[in-house]
Amino acid sequence: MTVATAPESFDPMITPVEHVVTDVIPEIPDVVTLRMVPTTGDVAPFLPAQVSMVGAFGIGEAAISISSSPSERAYHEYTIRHAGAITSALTHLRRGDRLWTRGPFGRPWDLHPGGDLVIAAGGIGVAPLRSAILHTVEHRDLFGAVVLVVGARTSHDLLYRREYEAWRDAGIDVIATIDHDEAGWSGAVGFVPTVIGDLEFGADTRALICGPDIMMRRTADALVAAGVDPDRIQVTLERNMQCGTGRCGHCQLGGMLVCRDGPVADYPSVARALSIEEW
Amino acid sequence: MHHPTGADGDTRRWHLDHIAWDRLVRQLMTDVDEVIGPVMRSGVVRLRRLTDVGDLAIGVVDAQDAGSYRATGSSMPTRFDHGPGPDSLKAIVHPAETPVWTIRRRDGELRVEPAPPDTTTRAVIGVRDCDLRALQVLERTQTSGPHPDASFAARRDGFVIVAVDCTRPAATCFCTSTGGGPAASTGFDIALTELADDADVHYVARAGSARGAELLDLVANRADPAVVARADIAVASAADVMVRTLPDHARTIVDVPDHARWAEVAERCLACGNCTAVCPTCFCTDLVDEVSLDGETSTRRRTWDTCFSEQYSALGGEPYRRSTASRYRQWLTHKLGTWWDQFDESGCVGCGRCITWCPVGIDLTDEVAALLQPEAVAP
Ligand code: SF4
Ligand code: FES
Repeated sequence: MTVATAPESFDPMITPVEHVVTDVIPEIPDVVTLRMVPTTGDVAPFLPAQVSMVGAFGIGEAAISISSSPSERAYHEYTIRHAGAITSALTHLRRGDRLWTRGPFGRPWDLHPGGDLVIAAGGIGVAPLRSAILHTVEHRDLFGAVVLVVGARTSHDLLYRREYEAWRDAGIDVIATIDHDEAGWSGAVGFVPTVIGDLEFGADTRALICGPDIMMRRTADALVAAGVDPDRIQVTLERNMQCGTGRCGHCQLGGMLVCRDGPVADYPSVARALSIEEW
Repeated sequence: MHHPTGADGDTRRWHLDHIAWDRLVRQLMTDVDEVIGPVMRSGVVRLRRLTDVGDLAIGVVDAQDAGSYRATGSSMPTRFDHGPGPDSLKAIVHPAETPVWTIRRRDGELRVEPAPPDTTTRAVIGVRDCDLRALQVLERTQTSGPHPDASFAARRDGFVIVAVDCTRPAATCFCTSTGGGPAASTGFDIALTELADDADVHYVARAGSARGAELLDLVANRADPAVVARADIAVASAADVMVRTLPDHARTIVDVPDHARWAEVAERCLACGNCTAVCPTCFCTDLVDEVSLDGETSTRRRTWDTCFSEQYSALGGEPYRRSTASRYRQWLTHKLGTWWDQFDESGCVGCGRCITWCPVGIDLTDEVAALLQPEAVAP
């Protein structure tokens, strides 16, 4: 997109960067992945769990995490679920449509090498984890055991299921679990925290959790009960975001401005906030 | 006794009679693009742009209490013998509505035109200490992060601030228990103490900046020590009349999210957001995109928002804070508690506007007092 009056110092959080949709990948029902590239300049570097405000003409903006690999420099992918009016309109974009991003921004997952890794995702929560998963796939030797527990309501709600095989081939233990048994299902049945409770973890395990608030709390509790150090448990938060620049107030969660201090947080720092109804 | 001083301990004082006063206002009118000051509008003292020295409200006193405001005339031609009106510097420096950008679409391609920064210079007359401190609080929220609001900074830099010491605080004021007032303490170019003898209203002034000192040298003479002493007494005695207070540990209300008082105040609260609109530090905004009728232009505006609205917290169309209790709790715990975590200070300066302008008279000092009472243990 051309910027009429070039600002002295370009801030991609303030001035939008025009992108074009190069692919629309249908995922599960109501969920699509948009692949996009900037119309001028390079694909912006980012770290796993970082988000952008993704906007389209006449639609508005929504905060969405980048779900492609951080090493992929040819495009960005954003997996979007049709929820409110804005995300619903974004899921209807087509190849060739123009849109914009402001970002990427936010605190990423801590993926320091070493130790075991447990990644727990509830429902669409696997989207903000996919870039971290792809990072471990590409750098598998940097970690000890890597376990991914993905929970969904039904087998049809398991996002990125077609990629499990490649992830397993790379040495990730992928455990998919659904809420209730289904005909023809041979995987786990039950909620993510229950599945986690049946696993064993080494002392140097680091955990990444993304899902609904209640799922993250229960999963963190299950991990702590299984001996994981609470300080090594990270969660990623989702709140209403408007500005992404720490100035509009919308994304507050207690003392945090999620766009400024998150979206990733150490679990102990937000455990209380997540446990208070409507906080 | 408390001796207010200007910047860097500048102890110089000037004296302004009504001729010097008029000269000061006229000088400001030639120096800056807009001069703003307290004027009467529909029975309320508002901050509005002046077109003439005579526009300033004269001879007005007010009576404020929880949910009530009444301005009346007095026999003295004073200009500042009233408490704060509903407007603070917020409406000037962080306006209720500001343009962000225009995006034009041509053959599917987008062209963005950022709104030009606001370079208007403004003098504001009659700013109280609560609002001087509120400006700094607000400034920290909008300009201290990695993505500062350039227009806020430009408007702030364009200010010439003529502050006034409060000699008659409103009944709703509690600034002294939030660490300020009633004397103008910080961030002004000129600070005035208003003195009224018989029909003669005059001012003792101090400078808070080189620009303020230059202005005063231009329009006024130095004050003699006797009149300075009178000004100091008038300001010092104002502190003693404040009845409302906010306890030092008000921030600990974040520790009682389940207190029954939240549900109780929610039965009275209308969730109208008046308190957030008049609050000089409430900074929350929304981004609103509007497409032109021909479908080719999309204009983005930033507007004030309020945490009392249901949509404020909505995720995927679903409000997160559904109950009024949770929204009142968000407002008060943020203002007094979590503001510390976010910006390392309190968000409350004790101006009392939220008390006066609440249509049902909810008084945050009462709410805090109740919230800090341990709850009766259920039998
Ligand atoms: S406290 Fe008063 S002013 Fe604030 S939202 Fe409730 S009713 Fe409105
Ligand atoms: S999204 Fe505006 S403050 Fe975080």
